[in-house]
Amino acid sequence: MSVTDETTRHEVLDVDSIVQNGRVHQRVYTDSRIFELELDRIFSRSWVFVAHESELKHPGDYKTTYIGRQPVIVSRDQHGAIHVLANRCMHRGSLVCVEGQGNSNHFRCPYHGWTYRNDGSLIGVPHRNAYGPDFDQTTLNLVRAPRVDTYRGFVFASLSSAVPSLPDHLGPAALCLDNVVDRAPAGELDLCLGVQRYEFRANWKLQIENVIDDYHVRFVHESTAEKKGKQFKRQSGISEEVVFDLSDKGTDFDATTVRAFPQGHSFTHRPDIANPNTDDPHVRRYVELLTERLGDEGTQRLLRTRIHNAAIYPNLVIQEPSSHIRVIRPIAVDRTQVDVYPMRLLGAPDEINRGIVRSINVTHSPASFIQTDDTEIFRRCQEGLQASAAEWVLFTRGQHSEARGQFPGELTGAGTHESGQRVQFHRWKQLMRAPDRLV
Amino acid sequence: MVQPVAVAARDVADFLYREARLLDQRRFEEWLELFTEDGYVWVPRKDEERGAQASLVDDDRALMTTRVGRLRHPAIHSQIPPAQAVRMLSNITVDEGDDGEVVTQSTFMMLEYRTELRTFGGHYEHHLRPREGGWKIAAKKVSLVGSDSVMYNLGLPF
Repeated sequence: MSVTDETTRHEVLDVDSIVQNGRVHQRVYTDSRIFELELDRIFSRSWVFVAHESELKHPGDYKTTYIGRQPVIVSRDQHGAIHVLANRCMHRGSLVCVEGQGNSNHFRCPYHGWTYRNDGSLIGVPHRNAYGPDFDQTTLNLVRAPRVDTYRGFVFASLSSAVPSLPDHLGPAALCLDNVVDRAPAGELDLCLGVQRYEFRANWKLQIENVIDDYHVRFVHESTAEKKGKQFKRQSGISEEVVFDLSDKGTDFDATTVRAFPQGHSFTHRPDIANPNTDDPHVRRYVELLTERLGDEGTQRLLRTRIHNAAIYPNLVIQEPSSHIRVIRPIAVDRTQVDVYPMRLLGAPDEINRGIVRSINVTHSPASFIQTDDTEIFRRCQEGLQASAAEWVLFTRGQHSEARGQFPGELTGAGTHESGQRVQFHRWKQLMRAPDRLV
Repeated sequence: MVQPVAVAARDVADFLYREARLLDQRRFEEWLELFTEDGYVWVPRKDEERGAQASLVDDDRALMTTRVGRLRHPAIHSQIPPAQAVRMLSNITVDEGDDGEVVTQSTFMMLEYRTELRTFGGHYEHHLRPREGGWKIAAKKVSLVGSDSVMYNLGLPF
């Protein structure tokens, strides 16, 4: 396993030869050297999702996670501030916390007992006098992510201070976060419904390219189609219109739209769907509760739009219909882990939230009906891409008809086109080109 | 006089072995028929309350039927090639449950091969309801060792 070092930091990558107009060189998926550069230039140089505020409800709450491959602790201190700290003792490098989550005012390294407050400051060094008079404890606090910010409960961090503000980074894609938060009658989400974790033996980019790919659904998920060609229903009250019709005549390759932004984010959606099935008493009650907060018009407007998947580059996916987020964690050039968090809609009827749990089990559990076929395809891509004799991966769908969108730099097309993937590689190129420049 | 519990234990073990063999032989439709109408399979992820938080599998009969139907589908990519598996169980104990049910606990291991050899194991708990001179499964809980680890492509029923 190679280590990012000073040589890597200054390495000049010929990104223009790798990412060309409508095509990408297969090396980006198979070259370990490029993977190491990505960990540095993408995951350590831009905003990444690290936690949801509901995972840090009380002072002292913490979770451990990763930024790229770097282990971090996300904690809430006594004053309510959120810190993102390298989970790495400043003495000899051990992890200071091995729990996935918990509550503690401090972390004690198991190796030599060095103790850090949950804001990262080093507060205890056993037998300190063995370090001479020049020993300055204040220089040995846990390394902090210089930028931490929250948007509507979603906590992001950057290991680089040279990034724009979080709202600027999110840009128009922030509406995807608004959309999912607003579907909670209380206007708040809670990640208390457990988690699904799956891995696949392929490059991380295959996952983020797949979520805004409506072209694949009919083919990859063919085995989920029931007799009339419609996909099985995941939860009660779901409108017939949003159950994918996988039959030959039902497949409308232009039914959805993709909106793609220069920051690398994108989302697929159907802007005008029928209102939910209010024959279902739980759905009816849910709509009533939403209306209390948003009013009739606001509720109708919200429910008429279906944003299927939003990809917030590089590591966050939001799926609104089933109320979940996915966090992509690169492990190796050909290995990726994904954590899937169903999100409780606070204020919604219990049956709606139980439906969210039921849905996540059948769609994104490692034993699911949906995601298992996606990850098998990723595996086949990673193996197929070993045929380096074929150099290029194509992203030309819809390129000729791509239109400018509402926002500066926005591109749109059908959901089965590849505008989303193209902006991902546009952003990839920007970040990977400049080892020392501000982006 | 033969003790009722001892007789039941032998019969229960035989039932469990036959259930495992149906799965080994991919006779999934016959396996479905072993369950009551309200029967379910639950493979928890951690210590969750069933239905309140995510589980690896939480299938009622309808979902079990969808799962089996999918395993037969000609375009199920994650099972092309199909996984092969054998299941072994032992440490079987039998207790009286509520309402005339029999509760059996056992330990199992499953060896599976698709693209690589994998081993799964853990604990079964079956709730069996007397039916038609035999039993039907009212509930099957599978507590996997490492259930909260990161896994992929759990295509076959445990």
